[in-house]
Amino acid sequence: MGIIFGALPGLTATLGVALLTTLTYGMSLNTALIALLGMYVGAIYGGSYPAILINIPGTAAAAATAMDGFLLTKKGEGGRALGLTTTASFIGTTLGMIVLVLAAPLITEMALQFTSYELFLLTIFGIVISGTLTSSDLVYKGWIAGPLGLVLACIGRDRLQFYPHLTFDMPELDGGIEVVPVLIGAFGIPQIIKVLRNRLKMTRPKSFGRILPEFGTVVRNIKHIIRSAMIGVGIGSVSGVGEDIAGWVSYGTAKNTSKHPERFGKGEPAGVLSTETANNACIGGALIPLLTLGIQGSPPAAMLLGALMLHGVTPGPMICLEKPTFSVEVCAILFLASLAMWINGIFLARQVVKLLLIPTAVFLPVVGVLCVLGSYALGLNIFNLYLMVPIGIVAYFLTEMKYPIASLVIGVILGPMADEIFRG
Amino acid sequence: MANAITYHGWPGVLRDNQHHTPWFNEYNQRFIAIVLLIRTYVYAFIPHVDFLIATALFLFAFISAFYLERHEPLIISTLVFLVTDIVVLLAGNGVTQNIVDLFTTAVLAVLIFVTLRFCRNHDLETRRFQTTLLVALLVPLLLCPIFRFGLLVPLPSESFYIDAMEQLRYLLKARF
Repeated sequence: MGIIFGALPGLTATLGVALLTTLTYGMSLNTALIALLGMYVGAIYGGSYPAILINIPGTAAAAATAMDGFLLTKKGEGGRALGLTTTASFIGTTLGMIVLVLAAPLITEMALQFTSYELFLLTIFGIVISGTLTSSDLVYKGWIAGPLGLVLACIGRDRLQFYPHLTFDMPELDGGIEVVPVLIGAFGIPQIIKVLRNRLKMTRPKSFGRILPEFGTVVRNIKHIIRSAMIGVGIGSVSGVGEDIAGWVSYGTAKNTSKHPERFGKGEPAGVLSTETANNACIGGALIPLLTLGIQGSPPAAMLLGALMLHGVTPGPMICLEKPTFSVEVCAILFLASLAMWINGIFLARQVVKLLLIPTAVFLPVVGVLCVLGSYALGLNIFNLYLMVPIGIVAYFLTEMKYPIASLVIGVILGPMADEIFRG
Repeated sequence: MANAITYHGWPGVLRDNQHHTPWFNEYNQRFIAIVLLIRTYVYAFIPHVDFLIATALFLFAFISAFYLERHEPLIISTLVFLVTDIVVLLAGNGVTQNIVDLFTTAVLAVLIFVTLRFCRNHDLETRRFQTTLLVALLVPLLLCPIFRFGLLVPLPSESFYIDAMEQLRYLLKARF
């Protein structure tokens, strides 16, 4: 499902995790984690399919993959390119997971020294830094979007004094704004409006040969792979920076350190390997601050943070005391997800690619219905839908004005926690 | 406009306006259509109309507006939704829900008929119309049982069609 979400241009890993969150509400925590991490890993990898076959990245994370991947397809080596991305993504996710296992206890030990002052500053840091780094235009736009999320988080009855904040005498707002309609509205509706308003069309995917793991090429480029994995983990662990930046930085570094930089941009396998390793390694990196400090590493990780909170798990320094085995469980699930992704990628890619034939004008209205059902299903509350639509439209205008939506959502997620820590 | 006033005065503003594309261009029409379709679906249909038929109408109008090459379905779907929105909101609380459901079904039938008239002399458009119809009917027929009976999520509004589906389920259960 994650691969399909990533492969369809217009659908992102963030939206996939947000939509799936509602369906996992009735599941046990472990089952929900398997579904959500599987979606996350699969969607980041799946974005490479259209990047390689039709030169349109399925997700922003795969934008750099298209540079060399599509040229390999044009040379008739599309199957080889898909094999390379599949193996590189598997290695990237696994290396990211290993770093997560090694780094998490050290950071948690340090984070346990934090008192409420530091925790409050940490939540504010998470909101501000994500605004700073995810803003594609002026930095202050990120700083506006984050506090805007904090304002939305203030809606509802005060948790300590039960005084109504910004409820406008509407009893439905007394409980505050639920995270899921904000997530789905802020990511789903702008995407639908943007794609259909601009009438973005897709070209037919080019034919490709057999998909093989390409271990020989992988071994020859092992230096690029390890370096890209480290870049991915490093960038992923910086709050707010996503897989797309990891892909580009890693591509640039691979090109600069290569003996044949002139081959990059002309169908060089090392270009595909470096970007795909980095963007998948970013997942493990993004989970480091999420699990140890309770702040997100990337936009899909922010959705994961919301999902974990819905399941009664509050990631942060205390998690190692409340659930000592949680980090290890996450790592094991991450490894299984990457293994499943590799197996699916090698054996089922040909079937998934057929989905690229579905026109955007057909599947986006269906995504709209899923957004509606997703927002409603969580609390069985129609008012969530009434909130989702205006939030989605406002988010669309903010996106058009290049305000980062991820930091707004982070503000909504971390707002109540920041408020409680600040006054508690 | 601010620059035009600063640097060129009112003649500049008037000249500038002549060069601008009209506000109600196709790009903005699509935006208005998307917002109106989603707005009507969420605020008018979901609370007042059976979820199955509401979703079928929403999907048919939405897909035909953007999937078909011709521009007319976009205008027609938007106008039909606008009128249905007003009627459902006005009548929604006053009449029984089954009447609202039947009215929505009639609107869907009319919309299908009108869209078919625009497509019938064109092979590609006819094929696209068939795809639109198939997706619009199949998706709610799959989603409703999955959520209602599989995930045990009560749908936002259940009346004529969901009740019929429930009856069918009990009938099948009794038989097998």
